Amino acid sequence: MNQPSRAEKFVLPDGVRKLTFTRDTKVANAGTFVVQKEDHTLGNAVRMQLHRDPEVVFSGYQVPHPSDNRIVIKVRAASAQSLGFLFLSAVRTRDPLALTARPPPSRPQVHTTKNSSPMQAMTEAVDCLRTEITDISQKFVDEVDSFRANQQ
Amino acid sequence: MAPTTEPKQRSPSIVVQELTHEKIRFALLHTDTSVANALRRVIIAEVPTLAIDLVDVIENTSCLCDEFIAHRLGLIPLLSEKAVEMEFPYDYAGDDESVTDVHFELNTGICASAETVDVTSNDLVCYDPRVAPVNYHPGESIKGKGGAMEFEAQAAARGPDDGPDIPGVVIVKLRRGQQINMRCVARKGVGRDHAKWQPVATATYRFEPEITINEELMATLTEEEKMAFVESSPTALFRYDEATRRVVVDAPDQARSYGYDGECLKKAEELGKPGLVDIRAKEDAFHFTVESTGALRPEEIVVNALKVLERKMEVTRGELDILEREQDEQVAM
Repeated sequence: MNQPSRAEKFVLPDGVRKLTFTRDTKVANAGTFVVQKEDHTLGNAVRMQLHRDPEVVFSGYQVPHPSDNRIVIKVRAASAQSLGFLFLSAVRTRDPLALTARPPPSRPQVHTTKNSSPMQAMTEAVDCLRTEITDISQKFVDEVDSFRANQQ
Repeated sequence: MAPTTEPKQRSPSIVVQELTHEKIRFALLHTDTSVANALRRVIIAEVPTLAIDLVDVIENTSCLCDEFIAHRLGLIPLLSEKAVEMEFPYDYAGDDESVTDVHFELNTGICASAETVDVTSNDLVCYDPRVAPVNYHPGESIKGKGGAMEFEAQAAARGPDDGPDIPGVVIVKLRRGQQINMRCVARKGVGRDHAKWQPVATATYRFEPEITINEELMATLTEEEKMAFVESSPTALFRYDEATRRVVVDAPDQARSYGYDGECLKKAEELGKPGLVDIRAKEDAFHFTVESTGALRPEEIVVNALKVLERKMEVTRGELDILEREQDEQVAM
């Protein structure tokens, strides 16, 4: 039959990694994740979660081709010195002075402790989503039970 | 640090509004569209069910060709409680067929009736007591032989039994002398692969409307105009309160079914009072409607979908860990 094999949508071929990360060669603290066998379901959720992270300057995803089962997620995390970060904090605090001021020394959760800030941002985003879904799952089961109990 | 307007970690809540054996309505609150949409997508495309996937044709003298009937067989929803214990055929490497396959038989015998006879899902015979077509009544089959068999799946709590008055799914019609004899294999699959594995007929969410009435403007309307305004919306959004002579937003449950048709806004403009009411979609309240095909109970579909989504996140997290470890090793070298 002239159609791609069914398994192609689900099964990772030998030697192909589910997730890869390529550091951007031109922009500091930025990189690209490629996730195999995933689609908008994961891509959009992760991207929106990354947007909630104040240390993330940019995040976006794409499905490069509808019949290639993979997504590409680009992340740029702020570094303490990056203009991007300062600009971002200026916007967030609505304080024009922050554009010239140095960031305060004690900032928790800045993804620059390691050489892998986009990785850290990504890990945190996925963790948050996982906790959220577990939470929804638990609440849903409880709600269904109490709904049934109320009906009887 | 830069003040975060909202914490990264959300804690959404769920309110179940309606639950029957084929439909659930619930609200998902305090979260993002991306999460609501992920849930909707997983419900449609990634909750595993069973469907007939392979058909061996032994005899087919009916008016439909083999592949036409095979396709129709695939689309019959099967009770899929067993799917969670089964393996996807493309994942399983072992030899135990019982883990991936459920066998069915469809053998009508030579049709002896002078009239045209319907071959329905009730004519399918399955030897796994937990798997059967939805609304299965083997007693209603052409041969009527399966009536004595006790079907565990049928007996399982499925809400009020719909009784034999719900006819089986028609597969093909036979004339005198025609015959069908097929062996089918049902397998576990997901809707992403083929729509026959979709557990739902409907899976949608809508945004909750937030309706505010400009009381000052409203007070300038005459009684008739107020009544006309209330009547203008096809979904009951507003109510004219006789006692206070004011227009009020009707019960919020009603307002939830608002289709954003804008009819009342048009009416307001017609009355020469634009801005009489303001209707906005809330961005963090999602009203889900999930209708099952009968393959799984509706609440089960949602629970399974959440599990699939959770698993997705776990796998991604695991892969991130591996990547991070590799990076550390590279740095160490």
